[in-house]
Amino acid sequence: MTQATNEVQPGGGVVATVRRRRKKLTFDKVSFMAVFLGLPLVIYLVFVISPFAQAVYYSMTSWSGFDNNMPFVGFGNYVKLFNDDIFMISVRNSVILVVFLPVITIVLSLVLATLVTIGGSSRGQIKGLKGAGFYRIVSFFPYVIPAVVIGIIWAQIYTPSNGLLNGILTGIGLDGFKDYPWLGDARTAMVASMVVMVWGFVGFYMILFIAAIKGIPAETFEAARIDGAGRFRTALSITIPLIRDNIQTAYVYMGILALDAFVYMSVLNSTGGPENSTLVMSQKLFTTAFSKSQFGLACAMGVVLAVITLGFSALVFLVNRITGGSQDVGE
Amino acid sequence: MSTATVNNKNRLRSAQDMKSDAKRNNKRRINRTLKYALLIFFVIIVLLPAYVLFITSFKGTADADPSRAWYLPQTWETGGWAKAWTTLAPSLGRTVILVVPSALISAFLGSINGYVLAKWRFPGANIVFTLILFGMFIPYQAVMIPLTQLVSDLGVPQGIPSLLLLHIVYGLPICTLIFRNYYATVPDELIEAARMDGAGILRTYGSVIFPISAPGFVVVLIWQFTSAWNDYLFAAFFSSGRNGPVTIALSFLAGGQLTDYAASMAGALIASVPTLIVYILLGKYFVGGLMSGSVKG
Repeated sequence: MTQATNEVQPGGGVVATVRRRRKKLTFDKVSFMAVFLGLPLVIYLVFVISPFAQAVYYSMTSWSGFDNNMPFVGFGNYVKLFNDDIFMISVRNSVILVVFLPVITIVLSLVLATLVTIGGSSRGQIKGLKGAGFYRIVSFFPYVIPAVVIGIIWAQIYTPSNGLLNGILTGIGLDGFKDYPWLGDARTAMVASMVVMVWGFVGFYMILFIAAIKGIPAETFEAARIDGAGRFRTALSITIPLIRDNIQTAYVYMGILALDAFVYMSVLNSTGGPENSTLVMSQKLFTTAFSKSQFGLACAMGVVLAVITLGFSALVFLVNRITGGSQDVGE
Repeated sequence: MSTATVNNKNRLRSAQDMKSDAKRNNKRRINRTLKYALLIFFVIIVLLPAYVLFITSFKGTADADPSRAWYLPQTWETGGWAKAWTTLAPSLGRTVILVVPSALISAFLGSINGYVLAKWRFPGANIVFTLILFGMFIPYQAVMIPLTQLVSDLGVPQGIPSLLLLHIVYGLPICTLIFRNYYATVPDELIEAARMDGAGILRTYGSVIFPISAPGFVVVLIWQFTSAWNDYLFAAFFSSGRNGPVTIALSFLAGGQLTDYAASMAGALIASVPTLIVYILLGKYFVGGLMSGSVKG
């Protein structure tokens, strides 16, 4: 933001005027800010920040949600939560999702993006490939259709008796998979659910990474090639470091999505799956509030979920900065 | 492997030129085949479910059984489409009324907020910015319960009015962030020049900033349009089948006890068409804008 000021440095007088003008709060400026920044900010405080503060307060009551009777119980709800085995299972499942889902999605979409952009001819100009528009539409498709629909289609694919997956597997001779309930067996339910979400997002992130890779000057790749770097090496030591901020963005978004995962998980296994193997925190929160009418307890779950989400985002930014990332969100 | 090829090229240029050329061509062919094989595999994986969606939507009631999901319809029928259309049509209208204004308003507010945050230093700017980021990262479920109370206490009617308000408010953080980063790349001289010419802050925004904001607006509008169109969570809390958007109507169509597969698949396609069109028409600009320093976060 300051680079422009630096450029006019030689004519020092200009800088000085700029500085002086900045400090002066004119009526014009103040009224503009009040209307266009202040007003949205107030609305934002009322509708986003204050509900969160309220949720924190409710989490310390044993409010049922249907009357105004809110006995204060302090941290009782939190103690109850950490002694609740099923809630802890849902925390574990959410953590599994937030660890694996972004990694799998991002690695896959990076591999595909690399293939599309620099996997072309290894000679001369580095090329993309034909039909990029077609691939773009195909890649956006899963991102565009509503999550509810994605869940319904995949539930069909996984149908034990006549779903596509078992059809293919028995078709190629793996008879052991005849009638295998992918979503009904605790060993595979989580993996099967993750596949659905990966399917929904790989294309989208592939497109984003392609755009990012195309933003890298062709000379950079050319130089690496002349220095004798192979494709794998180029991807690892040129592409990834140069688009690390995009990867970080993708990681945070995917992580937030993984910590929610409500729609996918509820459509695929509405009650949390076999032995609660696909029960996630947001589902548990929903049933606690609306089926068991323990709103206080549900709010406590919401607070735990928020803490985990914020902690996760902070961790990603921290790791990126420690490992030498150049930018944080603001820059 | 290609390290070797490059070295060969430098060292043994004349002697083995022909041979290495042939080798390289061969390798290129294998690489290309491998690449396209992988991409085609990816396309198949993506399109198979789309194929099921499409063909099932044209099946009759008996034909549209999961056991026959992968076969073409015995007879192509449009009953599913007709039923889906009559069921979804009212909610589609409501969704348009909801999504278009909410995308426009939050984009416009985001643009002004982003401009102020990027170009005007004022006390507390960092606090404002942190609050906005916080809004992006909190899980919506955590605030849903107090929020339902707040909205009903304020007397905002259930359904589209509530959702319009909430989509605008909850869209503000991402819109502001995108515009803030976009305007950070606008040279300060541009704004200085306008000010020297005597333009006030509003005038500067209107005549200098707004006209160069098109790439930012494309990104934000598409983003807001898609997320509001596909939103299910807010819709589930703040509306019902009678007054809700298309995702809610679709979940009733697809989630009942006796699922009409043809109708629900047709409904799914109908519900996806608007966003798909937006992406096909504007996808190129969206991706470009998203990467040109807008969402670096």
